[in-house]
Amino acid sequence: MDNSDTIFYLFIAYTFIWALIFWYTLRLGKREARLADELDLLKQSLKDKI
Amino acid sequence: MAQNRENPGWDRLLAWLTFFSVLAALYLSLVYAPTEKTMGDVQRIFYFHVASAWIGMFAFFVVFVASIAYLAGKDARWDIYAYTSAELGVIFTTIVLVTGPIWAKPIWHTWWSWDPRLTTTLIMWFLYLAYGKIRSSLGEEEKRARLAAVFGIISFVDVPIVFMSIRWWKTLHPAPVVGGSTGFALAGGMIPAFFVSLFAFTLLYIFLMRRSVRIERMSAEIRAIKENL
Repeated sequence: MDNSDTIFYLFIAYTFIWALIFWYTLRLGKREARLADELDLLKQSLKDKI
Repeated sequence: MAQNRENPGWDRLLAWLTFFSVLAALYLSLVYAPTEKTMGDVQRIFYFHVASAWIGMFAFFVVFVASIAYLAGKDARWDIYAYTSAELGVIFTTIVLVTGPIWAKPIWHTWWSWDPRLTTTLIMWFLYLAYGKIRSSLGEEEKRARLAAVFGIISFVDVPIVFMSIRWWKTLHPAPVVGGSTGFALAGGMIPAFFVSLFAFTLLYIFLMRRSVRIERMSAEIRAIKENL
């Protein structure tokens, strides 16, 4: 097989690896931000209750 | 911001260290490392494929240890470590299972072969997917943690089999890089690319693990507050 053909497979593999890692890190970041907001809100309402 | 709640200095340092080591690993694997003579450039998949496999198996080892620690002491922290590490193990093993066939296609002329290494790795991936499903399908926290811990210990049986499969059986899969019959099976310029990739993925695992653990702790805190409200 020509080396230029194998570069296509290399490109697909590296794109997949970094797309998956990027997606997962972004998902964690969004979840963390949402939970932090919810926690702040709950702590505030707990403080108001007291 | 949530990410600044605990040790923000360490987290920032770890994030930057991970980022730069990933850049270094990309440079070494794509530019510095020599092109392999028989496979050509597609062999460069190796650097992150193997690093993902090692980190995936290490993540499942953490699940195993944390599950034992949970059952021994019933400390919820160990349950969080086990769960977050299992999720990361699945992510890294997904990389292995996708990049392996992409590498195999131009070399073996097939995407997949039911040989021992590939089959046992696929089984391992399904086992830890099932681990996640068990956790999400059970409501009561203590029961969920206990069952997950038992499953986390049983599932680990497959991990050494995956590791040893290319040593025990004849397979299409290449021989081990370290500890195989040929000793250290890498050309000179490939060695730094391999070890820096492994180091970068180790840092990535630690970075993502710390983040996931923090998320799970916040989640637990929210549940506790809701119960008291």
